[in-house]
Amino acid sequence: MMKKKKKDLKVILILILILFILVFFRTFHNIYVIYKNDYQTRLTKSYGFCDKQGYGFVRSIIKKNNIRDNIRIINYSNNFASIDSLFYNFDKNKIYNENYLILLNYNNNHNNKSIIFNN
Amino acid sequence: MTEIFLIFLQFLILHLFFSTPLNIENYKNLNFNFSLNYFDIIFFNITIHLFILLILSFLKINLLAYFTLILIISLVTNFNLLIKKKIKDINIYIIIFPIICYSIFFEIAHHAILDWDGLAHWFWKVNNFYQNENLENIINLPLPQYPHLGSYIWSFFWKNSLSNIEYIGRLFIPYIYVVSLFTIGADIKNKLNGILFLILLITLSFDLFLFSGYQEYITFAYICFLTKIAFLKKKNFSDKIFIYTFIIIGSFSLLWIKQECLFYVIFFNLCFVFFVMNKKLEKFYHFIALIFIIILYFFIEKNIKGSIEYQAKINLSNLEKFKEFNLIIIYISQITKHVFIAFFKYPILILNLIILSIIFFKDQNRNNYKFLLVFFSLNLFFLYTIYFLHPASLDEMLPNTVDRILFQISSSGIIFMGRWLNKPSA
Repeated sequence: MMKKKKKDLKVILILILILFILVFFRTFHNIYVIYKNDYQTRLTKSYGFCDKQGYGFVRSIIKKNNIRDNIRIINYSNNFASIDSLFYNFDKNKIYNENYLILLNYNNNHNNKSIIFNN
Repeated sequence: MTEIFLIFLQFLILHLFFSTPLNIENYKNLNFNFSLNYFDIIFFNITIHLFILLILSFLKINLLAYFTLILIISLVTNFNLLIKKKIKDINIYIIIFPIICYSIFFEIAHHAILDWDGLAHWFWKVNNFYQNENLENIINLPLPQYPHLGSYIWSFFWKNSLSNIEYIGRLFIPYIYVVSLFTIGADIKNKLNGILFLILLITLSFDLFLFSGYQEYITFAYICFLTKIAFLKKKNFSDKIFIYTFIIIGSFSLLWIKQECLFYVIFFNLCFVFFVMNKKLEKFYHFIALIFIIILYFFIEKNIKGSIEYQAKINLSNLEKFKEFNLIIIYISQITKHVFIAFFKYPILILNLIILSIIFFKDQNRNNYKFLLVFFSLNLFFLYTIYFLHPASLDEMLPNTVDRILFQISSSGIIFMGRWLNKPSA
């Protein structure tokens, strides 16, 4: 009887520890967020649309203009790493198209390039 | 919903992939005198597969064929094991393991982004392999001197997943990390103590930032596992050959994870030779093997990249500025300050200090103490030296690097704590 009680207590403790793991990693919240927001939405939220790395902005203009070339992405904010690597296509013919630039967090004149969109 | 399913599937794929060639049945046929737990066998498989993938990265071989072949073999052998009811010792560790893995996977999936090093250095290489470019193309990418194995495996699992979601590829990193902790935890016979110990280790060492494209956890896991197998009791020739081979294979793979791993590998193996190995001839052969893998690493790197370089030109001329004694004091105090900060950022480092003090007072085997003390001391010496020789300013370097350099070796002490928890007095 005593042994059984001890075993039950051990099982309850283990269940509490499992619950602790789930709470520590916010597993239920994470599953909810993944379920509610698709991958691209979560990336845009994390990398920013017009702010931070401007992932949403870059993605939207690439999609809107059906751009297939590699375009240099210059982020004027030094606080963030460039997201060039996320969009780069390694096809040998697709080196950077120097006619276009995507400027993020930009507030200076860049006279020799025409600005298509501005974030 | 599909994404949640893909995450569930990815764990199964990773687990299946790393469940072969060794398993709980066939390893017993090798007649070793030491006993391995379920997770030790998984990590032996991880070491084998990472080594094979390293070799394959130098060749132009269809990786899909390799991936499919391994999955089929694993599926057949593990299914056979299940039918024969050989997996009779399914215990609480095997139930908690996927819970922890899934929890970390969902945490990574929620945030899904890559942080600075991930975006600026590692993902270029990942994307290179993902888009079927070869290893030679790395020289055209930013920081080509960074080793490629971590990126290669990341792209391997990304490419062989059912979706084009990038983070699915890097879920092997938390998987390896959790397996490494379980190799220590699953040895503890009192399951409750074992689970508490595992939770302690995870809470002290988990950092989501390091899962956002960094490779530190791979080194952490390898150092943990290599330390564990280094201290297994090896009685006969086959035991020794098996363990020494895996230490050399693991060390060789580690060289291709991060540049600083070269120093970790040298320090680890030197400590192993001097404080764990007994016979002079064995020490000599292991030392020769260590030199051989380092020369081989440099030889292959030079052939692929043309030259061996580091992120910054490190040479003795950088020491010229230390003619002023004050500057030496400033450097030492600044580095020491950040070492202290690292201990609070990653409290597993504090745990290592506690373990070291306990070994000093309690452990009768002085070699355990010497191994750990010398390994940490050499790494600290390396840390101070590298900042003295580095041309960049300390303000730029220290806040972002010291903690990560120390974190990678912080798994070496936990094996001893796992052993104490197994002693009857504990």
